[in-house]
Amino acid sequence: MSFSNKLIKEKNGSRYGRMIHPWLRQKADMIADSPSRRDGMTYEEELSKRQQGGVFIFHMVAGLTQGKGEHGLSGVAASLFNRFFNIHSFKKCDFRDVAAACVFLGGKNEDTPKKLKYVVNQLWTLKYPQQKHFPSEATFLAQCDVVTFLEEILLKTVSFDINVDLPHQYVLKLMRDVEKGRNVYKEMVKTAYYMATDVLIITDWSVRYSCASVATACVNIASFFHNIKMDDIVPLDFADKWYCFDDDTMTRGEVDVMTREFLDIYARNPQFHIGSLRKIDINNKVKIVPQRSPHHLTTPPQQTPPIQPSSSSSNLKKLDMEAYKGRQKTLSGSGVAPVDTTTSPAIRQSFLPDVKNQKVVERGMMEHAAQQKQYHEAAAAAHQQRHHNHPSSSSAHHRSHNHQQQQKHHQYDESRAAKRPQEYEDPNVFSSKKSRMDRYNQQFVAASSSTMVQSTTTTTKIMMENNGFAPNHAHFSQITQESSYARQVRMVGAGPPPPPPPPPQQQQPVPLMSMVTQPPPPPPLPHIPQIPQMMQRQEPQSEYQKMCMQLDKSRNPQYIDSGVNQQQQQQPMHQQYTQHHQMMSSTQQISPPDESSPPLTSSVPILLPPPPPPPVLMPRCIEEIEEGELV
Amino acid sequence: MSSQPYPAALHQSSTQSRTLISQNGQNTPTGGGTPNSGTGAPELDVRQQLLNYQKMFDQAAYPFINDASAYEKLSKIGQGTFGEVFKARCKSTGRMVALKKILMANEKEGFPITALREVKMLEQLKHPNIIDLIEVCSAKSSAPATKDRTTFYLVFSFCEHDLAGLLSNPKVRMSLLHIKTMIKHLITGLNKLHRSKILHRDMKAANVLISREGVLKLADFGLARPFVQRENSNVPRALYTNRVVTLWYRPPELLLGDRSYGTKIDVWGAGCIMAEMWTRQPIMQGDTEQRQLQLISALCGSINQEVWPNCVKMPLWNVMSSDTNTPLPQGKKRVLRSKLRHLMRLDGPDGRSQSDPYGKGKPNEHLPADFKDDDAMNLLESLLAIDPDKRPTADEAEDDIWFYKEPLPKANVQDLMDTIPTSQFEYTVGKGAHAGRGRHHNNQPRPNQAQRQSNAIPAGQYRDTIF
Repeated sequence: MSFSNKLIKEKNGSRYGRMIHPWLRQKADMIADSPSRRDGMTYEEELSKRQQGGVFIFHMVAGLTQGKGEHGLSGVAASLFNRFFNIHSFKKCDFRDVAAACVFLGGKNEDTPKKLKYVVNQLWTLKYPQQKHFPSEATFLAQCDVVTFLEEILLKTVSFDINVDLPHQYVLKLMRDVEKGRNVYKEMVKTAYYMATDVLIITDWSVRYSCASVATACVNIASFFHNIKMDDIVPLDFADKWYCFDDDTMTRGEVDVMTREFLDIYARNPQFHIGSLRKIDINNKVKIVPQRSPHHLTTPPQQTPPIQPSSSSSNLKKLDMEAYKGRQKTLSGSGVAPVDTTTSPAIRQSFLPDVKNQKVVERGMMEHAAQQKQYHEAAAAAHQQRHHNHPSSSSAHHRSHNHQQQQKHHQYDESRAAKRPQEYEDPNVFSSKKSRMDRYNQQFVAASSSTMVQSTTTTTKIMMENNGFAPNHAHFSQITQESSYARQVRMVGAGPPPPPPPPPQQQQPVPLMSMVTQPPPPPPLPHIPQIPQMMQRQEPQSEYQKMCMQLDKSRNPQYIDSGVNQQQQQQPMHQQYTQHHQMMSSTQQISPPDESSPPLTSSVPILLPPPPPPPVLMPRCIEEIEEGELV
Repeated sequence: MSSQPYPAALHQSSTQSRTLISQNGQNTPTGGGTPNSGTGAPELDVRQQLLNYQKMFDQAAYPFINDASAYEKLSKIGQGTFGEVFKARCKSTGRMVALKKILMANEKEGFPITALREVKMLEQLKHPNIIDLIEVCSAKSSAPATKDRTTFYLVFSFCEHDLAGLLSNPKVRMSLLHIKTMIKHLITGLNKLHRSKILHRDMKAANVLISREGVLKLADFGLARPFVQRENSNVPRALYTNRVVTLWYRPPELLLGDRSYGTKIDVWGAGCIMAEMWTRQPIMQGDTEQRQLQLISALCGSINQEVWPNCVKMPLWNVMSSDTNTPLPQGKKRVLRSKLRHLMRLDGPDGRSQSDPYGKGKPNEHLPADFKDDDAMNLLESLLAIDPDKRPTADEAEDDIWFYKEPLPKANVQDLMDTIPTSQFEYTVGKGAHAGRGRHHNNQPRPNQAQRQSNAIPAGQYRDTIF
C-alpha cells in the first residue's frame, strides 16, 4: 500500500484507478492470445508459472524481511510480475529472475528498499537451495547484473506504471460500508484483508480485475470461509452495490466466478497455501485435492473435509460473550429484524463456553435445526439443477436410525477415501468429548461429500456444511417429491408480509457456490426446480409446517443466527425449540449453531438495529485511506 | 576479474561488474567465463544468461514506452548532479518538451529510488501549478560504461523560463500584480503538493518554472518524497534525512538537524522565494550551515526559546549554541520588515534594487515614504517565521488576505511573458548554477546529493530510508 488510494475517475475500458496503461485483460482474451501463448504455452501452464512466480516472490519477501513478510511489497511485486508477463513470454526468461527484479523494484516502490545484495542472495538461495553461497564473486556480480538489468526491462515493460493499487484498502472500505460501524465481522475482515495479498500472489487477478473487484472477491471468499453470506450482512441500501462498490463493471456473477476460481485454486494447490491462506480455512470447508488434471482449472471437485480443532482463547470467549449478550438484547427488544451477527467467527467462538454445558448445546442445536431447514432449502435450490440433491447430512438428525447407520457407513468409507483422520466417525464420542459444534456437520460433509467426488469428478463441489450430499442416487425420486412438499411448506410459511424479495439471483453458475454468494431464494419462488427440498423428509409434516409458520410469524425478516446458543426468549421459537429437542436427543448429529443459516428472508438485506457494542476498535480503514492520498 | 574474496565483493558497485561483463561479452561473444575463476560453470551460466537476456529483451517489443528517438534534442538547458536537462521537440507532434535524463551510472542499487519516487509522484500529480510529466521514455545508452543498459528520460512539458533566470535578468520588470499572481501560483501548487502528502524538499527559485502562458509551475521532484502525517498518534513521526533543500532556502529546523520535519520546510522556501521576487536574488546566501544560521538570525531575529519554544529540542541545538563563534547569536532583532519594506512597491523594482537589495543605502526617494504593502509584508513575515509551527500551512497561506485585496491576482502573467523575448534559464543565463546571482556561486550544488553524500551520510537519503 503505497501512499495513494484515491481513484482517478477514468475507468475507460481496462484502465482503472491509478493504472496508466491497460493491463487488465479478460480471461478469454488471455486464453486466446498472450506472449506465452505465442511461444506455445497453454493458459494453464502460464497460470501455473504465474502462480509459481508469485509464490517465489512471497518466499523472497519473507526471506528479506526475516520471515515477517510485507503485504505491500509482495502485492506490488506480484502485480508487477503479472504485468511483466502480459508483455513477455515465460519462455524468454527464468521467471525467478524476474520475480527477484520485481521484489527489488517493488521494495523501492513501497519505500522499503531492499539492498541489491540481499535480494540477489535471497534469489540465489531460493533458486539453488543446494548451494549455500555463490560459487564466486563473479557469479554474484553477474547475478546482480541480471537483476538490475531485468529491473530496467521491467520498468521499460510496465512503462513506469508503478503506482500499483492494492486491494487492501478496498477491502476495508467495502467492509466499512457493509458494517456501518458495527464492527461485528472483525474476523472476517481480517481474513479478507490478509488474504488480499495472497490472492494476488496465487492468481492472475492483478491483470484481470481491478483492485476493487479483487477486494470484493476477497471479502466474498472470506465470508465463505466464515460461514457468512454477504447478502445477509450488507445493509439494505447497499444490497445491490456491495459487489460493484468501486468498480461498476463488476457483477454479482463475476464475484461468484472469482470466488469459485479462487476456491478451485485453493483446493487443488496445497503448495500455494502461503501466508494467511494456511489458516484461512478455519472451518475446513474446502477439501484439498491436489491437482489431478491440469485441465480442470475452472471446474474441479472440491470438498469439505473434517475440521481441525480451532483454538479459542479465553480472551476471545469473553469478548464474544459480551457481543452475544448485546445481541440478545437487540433481538428481544426490537421486533424488527435481528441481525445475523453470530456468523462472524469471533462470535461463533463465543459459544464455546456454552457448549461445554451439554444442555445449552442441545438447546442451541435445536434452535439451529429450525434454521437449518431454511438453510437447506436454499442449498437445495442451488443443487437441484445438478441433480445432486440428496438428503443433507445435516438433516441427518431428522432421520431414522436406520438411515443414520447407512450414513455412518458411507462416512467411514469416505473419510478413508479422503485420507482424513477417522476421528470423526463416531459423532457421539465426538460431541461429548470435544464439544465443538461445527464438527457435527463437518463430519457429515466430509463423509458425504467425498462420495460425491467419486460420482462426479469434474464438477466443482464446494459444499456448505449443512447440505451434505447423500451418496447414492436412489434418493432422487424422493427428492422431487419432497421438493414439491417443501415448496408447499414455504408457501405456507412465507405467508404474511414477505419482505421485498431481492431479484432472483443467478443460479446458473455452479450452484454449489451460490450458497455462499447468493441469498437463498425468496420464499414464494415461481419456478419449481429451484425450490428446496431437502430436509423435510423425515419430518412429520404438520410439525414442520407449524414450525415454519411460527418461525415466520415470529421472525419476519429476523435472522436467526447461528449464535443460537442464546436462550430463546421469543415465544414462537419456544415451541419449535421443544420440537427439536425431541428430535435432537435421538441423534447427536447436529449441525453446529455456528452455521449461518439465515431464514428465508435472509435474502433481504435489512438495515439492522445497532449491533452489540463492538468489542474491538474500528477497522483501521479510515486512517489508512486518508493518509497519503495522492490525487 | 578481481580476486577479492567473495564477501568483499558485496560492497562493490555492480556498475563495475557491468562494465567488466559487457567488455567480456564483446571479447567473447559466447560469454565465456574468466580464465582465473575456478568455478567456471555456474558463473558462466549466469553471465551467459545475462547475455541471453540482453539479446532477447533487446528485440522485445515494449508497447507502452516510447523511445527517446521520438524526440529531437535541441539544446541543453540544465545540468546538475541530478542529471542533464534538454530542450527537445516531439518529432510527431512538434510539441516542445524538456527531457530530463535519469543518471544511472553511479547507482549501485539499480534504478535510483529518488527517480522512481519522482516518477510515481508526478504521475499522480496533475495540477496547473505543478510540472506536467508527459511520459518516461527510454533509450539505449551510448556511454561505454553503461553499455547495453537503458537510459531513461523523463519527458516534461516545456516551460520557457525559470524564476531564478527571470529574476536575475534586470530587464524583466515585474509589477506587484505579477508578483502577487506568481506567489499565488506558487502557493497553490505547494498546497496541492502537501495535500497529496508530498514534501518537495527543494524549494528554490531555480526549481520554479514559468510557462510561455505565464503559469508558474513547481518542478524538480528529485528530492521530493511522500510523507505520512499521523496526528494524535503516539507513533513517533517518521524520520527523514535533513540533508535536503538547497542551503540558501533551508529553514532553521533543518539547519538544527531536525529529522521529523514536515510541510513547513517548504513553506520557508516559499517565503524565501517570495522575498526574492523583490530582492531579485536569494535573500540569505550562506556558504555553510553555521553561516546560514547566522544569516537567518541576522534577518529574522535571534533563534531562541522565546520565538521558538521547541528550538532546544533540535538535535544540533546544543552543538550549535555552544560553539564559540556561535551560529546562534542572541539579541538580534528581526529586521525582515524594515529591510524589505521599501522594496515592496506597487511598481516592480528596477535595477536599483539589485544593487541595494536590503535597502542598506539611502532610502528610495522616488517613493512616498509611507507607501507599503502591509499585507504582502505580513504574509512574508509569517512564511519566514522561525518557529515552524507558526508558519502557515500552504493551505492557510493560499487564503491569505493579500490575495483577496486589490490588485487581485490574475490567472497568469502572460503579459509579463510577452515582454521577454528569449528563454530565461538560470543555466543558460548564467552558465552555471546561480552564476551571477549571489556571492557564492558554483559552490552550492544541491547539498544532499552526491558530493555531500560521500561524507557524513554515506548515500544520502537513499540509505536514510534503508536504515
